[in-house]
Amino acid sequence: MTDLIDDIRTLFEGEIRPVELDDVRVARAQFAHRDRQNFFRSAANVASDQTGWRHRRRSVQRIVAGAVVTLAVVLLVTTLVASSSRRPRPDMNVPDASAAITHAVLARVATVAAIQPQLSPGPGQYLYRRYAEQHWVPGNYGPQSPTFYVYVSDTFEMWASANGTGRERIVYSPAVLPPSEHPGWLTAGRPKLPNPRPAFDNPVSFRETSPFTGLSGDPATLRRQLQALAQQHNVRSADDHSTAYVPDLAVQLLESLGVEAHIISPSVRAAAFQVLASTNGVTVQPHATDQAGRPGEGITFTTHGLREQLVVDPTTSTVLGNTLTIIDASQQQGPDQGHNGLVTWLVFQPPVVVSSTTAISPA
Amino acid sequence: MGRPEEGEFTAFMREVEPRLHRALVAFCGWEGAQDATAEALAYAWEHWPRIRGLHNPVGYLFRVGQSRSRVRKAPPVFVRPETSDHWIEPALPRRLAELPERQRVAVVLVHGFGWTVGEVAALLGVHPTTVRTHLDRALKRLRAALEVAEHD
Repeated sequence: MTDLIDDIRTLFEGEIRPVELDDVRVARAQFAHRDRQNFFRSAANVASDQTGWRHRRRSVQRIVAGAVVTLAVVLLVTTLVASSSRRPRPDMNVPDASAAITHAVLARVATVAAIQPQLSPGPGQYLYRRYAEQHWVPGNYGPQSPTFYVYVSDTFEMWASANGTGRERIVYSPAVLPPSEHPGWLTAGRPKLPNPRPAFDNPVSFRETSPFTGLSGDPATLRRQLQALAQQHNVRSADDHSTAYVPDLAVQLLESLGVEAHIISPSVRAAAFQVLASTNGVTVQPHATDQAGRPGEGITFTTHGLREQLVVDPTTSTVLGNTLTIIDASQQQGPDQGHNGLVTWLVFQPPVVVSSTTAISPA
Repeated sequence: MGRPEEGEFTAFMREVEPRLHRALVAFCGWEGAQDATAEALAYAWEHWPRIRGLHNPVGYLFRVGQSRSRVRKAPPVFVRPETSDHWIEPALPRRLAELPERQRVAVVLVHGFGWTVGEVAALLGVHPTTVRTHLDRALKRLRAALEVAEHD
């Protein structure tokens, strides 16, 4: 049997017939027709002065759209300010602790992590893991940037036995249009919001090799192992070889408590916190809260205009939540580059050992 | 077309089309990608003064192609019309089509078309870590669905 990746490569090898200018001409004709329908109620209006008419209408529309976007920004800021007064959030203006405090806090977090019991399901038992993830995604596209954004969220649940068999369930929630995005949505012509995908709920196998197999509990060795992983992990651009990938991997390791708990020992988790402590730019924020409002230690690092913050339970050193915020949109690429703000958050439920693939409370 | 910038647009199209087309194959399959690419490039022509100044036009036009092909409810089709001598896991095309959208785009572009993680991240407008997470989850799910082991 060939390897899965070889099969994927084989499936997509070969030439694809390119889209030619003629294809675009056809599509453009359709596009122009649709566009025209938006501005003229009757086909009889197709006249020689149509072009000027259309341009005037478009100019007016752009002015209106600009005003609406400005209003959306004002509403967004107002909403954020109002919501921050009602609900505590990770405070972006909290002064970073000094390096010494960062080291001290992360050393304490590492010590707590090292003395935690390793969760191992016995015969007939499963490790249950649940987390929710929310993304901020474009809902529609304007001429230069997305017209409005929506939140989409997924809830993941996993039941993993000691031999790697189990169940995975993913429930996709309907897209949510925040009040701040209503003006953009109206401007876009009240388009239908994307439908959620059908839920995924199937028996699965978690037996494949994890990239985190065989990691060391010694911080210096672990750092070298993570750097080596960064080189191997399908990363070929020079940009991705930056040291930013090491804290990324450390965070992934710390979040991989579910199905990989049997190979990531408490000592490795402790070492991952120490790797973060010795990484330039990592800071801690006392009294941080995750998106579910749970308090904990905030651990933050910034790279490529993005800020990632973990919130860790101080009593167990398990990861409660993770937020990804664009703080410098100029360093971002793609249509989303103009939007600073919280783009993704995750909320984790602490893993527990349960007695079946339908149970969600401790065995 | 007859516009003075036609030559410039044609050159842009020749440069951008292969990458855009492959990205849209990953999103909506071979059948849908042809139309989606044409739609996205038509949009580029219609908005050429703005598109030409974008930092990442492929990423932007990929979103446009996505947006204009979302009305199609059918899953993406990955069965090649021409016969191939290469043997592959028979259920692979169907399982790929069943993957969540971003996982499918990541795995097809990286492992099917040889893109780097950084290139996919730029296309999708996300952090490379997110792409790697999508890749890990996609391969995990494919291996589970196809009941194949990892060969390294």
